[in-house]
Amino acid sequence: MHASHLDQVHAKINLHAHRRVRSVLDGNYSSIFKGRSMEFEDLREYAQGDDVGDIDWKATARSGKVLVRRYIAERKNNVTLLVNTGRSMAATAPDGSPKSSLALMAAGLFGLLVLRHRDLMGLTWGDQKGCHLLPPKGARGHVELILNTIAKAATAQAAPADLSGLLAYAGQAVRKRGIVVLITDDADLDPAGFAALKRLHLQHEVLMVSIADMEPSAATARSPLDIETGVLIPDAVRRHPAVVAEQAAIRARKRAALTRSLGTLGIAEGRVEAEATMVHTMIGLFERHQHVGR
Amino acid sequence: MTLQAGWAIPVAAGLLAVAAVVGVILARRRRRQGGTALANTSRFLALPAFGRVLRRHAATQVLSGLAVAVLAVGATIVAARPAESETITPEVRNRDVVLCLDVSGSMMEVDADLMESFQNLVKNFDGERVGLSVFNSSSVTLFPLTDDYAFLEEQLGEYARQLDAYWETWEIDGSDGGFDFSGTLIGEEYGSSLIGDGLAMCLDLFDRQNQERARSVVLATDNMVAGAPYLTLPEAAQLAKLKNVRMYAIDPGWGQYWDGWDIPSTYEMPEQAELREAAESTGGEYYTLDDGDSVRKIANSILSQEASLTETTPYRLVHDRAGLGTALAAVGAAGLVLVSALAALGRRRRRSE
Repeated sequence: MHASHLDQVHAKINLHAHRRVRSVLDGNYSSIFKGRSMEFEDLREYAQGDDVGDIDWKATARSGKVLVRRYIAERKNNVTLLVNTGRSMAATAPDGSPKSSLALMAAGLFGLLVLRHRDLMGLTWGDQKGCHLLPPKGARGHVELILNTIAKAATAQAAPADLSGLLAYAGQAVRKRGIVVLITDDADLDPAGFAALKRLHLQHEVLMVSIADMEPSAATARSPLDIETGVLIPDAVRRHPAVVAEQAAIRARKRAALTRSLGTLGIAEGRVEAEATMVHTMIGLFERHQHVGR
Repeated sequence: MTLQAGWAIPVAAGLLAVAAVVGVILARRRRRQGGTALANTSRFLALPAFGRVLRRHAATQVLSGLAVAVLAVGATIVAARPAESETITPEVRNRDVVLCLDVSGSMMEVDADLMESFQNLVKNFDGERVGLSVFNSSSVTLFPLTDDYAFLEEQLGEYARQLDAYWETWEIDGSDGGFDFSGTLIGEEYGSSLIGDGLAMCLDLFDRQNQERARSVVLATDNMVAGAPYLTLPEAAQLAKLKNVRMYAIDPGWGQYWDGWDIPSTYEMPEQAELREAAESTGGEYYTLDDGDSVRKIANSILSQEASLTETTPYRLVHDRAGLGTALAAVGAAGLVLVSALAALGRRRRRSE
């Protein structure tokens, strides 16, 4: 039997983020769902990133510590992971780990938060061969199933990725209004995909997690080959200064274009490059998500 | 043009096949185990710089491969040892000729001429061993059998010169003119001009008795015996025959003495007849010095008659012709070095930029 994906994600978070960061995660998440009907649950100490508006000034005065009010969402949130599980997700991330394991960790992180807040989690995933849906449920076992499904789908044997198709499918299939977390890689977003993303964002609250690709010119790549074609990229060519320089330029241009597009839509993006920096990336994503606001 | 080590070609082909199979296996394994799998490389592969560098890289690879191929082909050709072979029938070199000169008083006038005849005779030879012995009452070996023709030429020339000088000074003052006869007059009290003994001693010069060699003696004498030899000329000739040696006789001839006498030039003295019979009894021939062609005839006789006596085994001589293979290998190696040097130069220029 496989070890629990959730336990693994938990262990990784504990490994890479110290306690103060983890409490920030708690605080931020509680304010992802602002503007919704909330029911007061209890008080807890203020943590960095909490909405200042949540501070209970009277209780703070009484206790001498800064306390914030915690709420339970009155209505359970539907958090749908939209994972681009095509073949490219099995390729390598900048830190040398498979991108799929980074995607899995990001998904698991959301899973832990969803479970802690007794929300519901669903999954939409797919590639060129087709897209699939697991409807939202709140059980730990269901979250585990979602992670397992991602792990099984995002392999080198999978069909090539189809981000636009997946976005279009999600626009149809995800009916219940909620939060959609798009976990994809550095694939280019074509106009159709961009339109689908825009439609999705009108229906739902969309966050985007990009799993970065290892660059072909990276020094840590060992006889790299393209995962789609199997074509080897010769070292003498990929490390050539002219190629490296040109690639750096085009990468910066593409990133800038994507950031601009997402900015016009009001979608916050977190770009994951390594397991070690995942938690920080996510906190940054939550902060930006708050500020792009609704 | 034949290949001395033709098996090298299938071996090289086999090695090539093995290398190809190993290469394919390695490439497949590398693809299966994968290097680092990367996604979304199409942007990268579409870079103009990538295409440019890739083309240059590919050209370098192709040229290197070509150079290695040329090198390998050249090396294979060298390994296969192309060679030209020729069949050689070795020159007959198992003839021994002993020149035997009578230096008795009656002969001194013509000995210089006879020595020159010997010189001319030797000029007809190539590989035959020649020895020289002179005798009067006793015999002296001037040099034993040798095929050192430079030495022969020098020695015979020197003796001819000395004999000439001797005759000239002797005619004037009776001195020896530098020619050293020491040893030829031992036992003079028993007589001089002991032709039979002289011939017998000349026969003694033949060595390698266990080898079947064509042996000839060229005896230059007037056969004017003055004393009591151990062996008469016919007896010595018999000994020669016994030893399977042919005796060729050169007689100075007496034609000059018959001038003014009523004797035909064809008149043969008993001594001359004895000499001719002795020569002919051994299978040899008799000539007089008057016969201008005697030397050539003797040479022809020795070279032709004796050749039939000797057996020679033809053998194959093989010359390696490594030129083409070596040149190809060199061109390949030079090409490889050139391509590598150009690539290294490019890298260095890029670093300094």
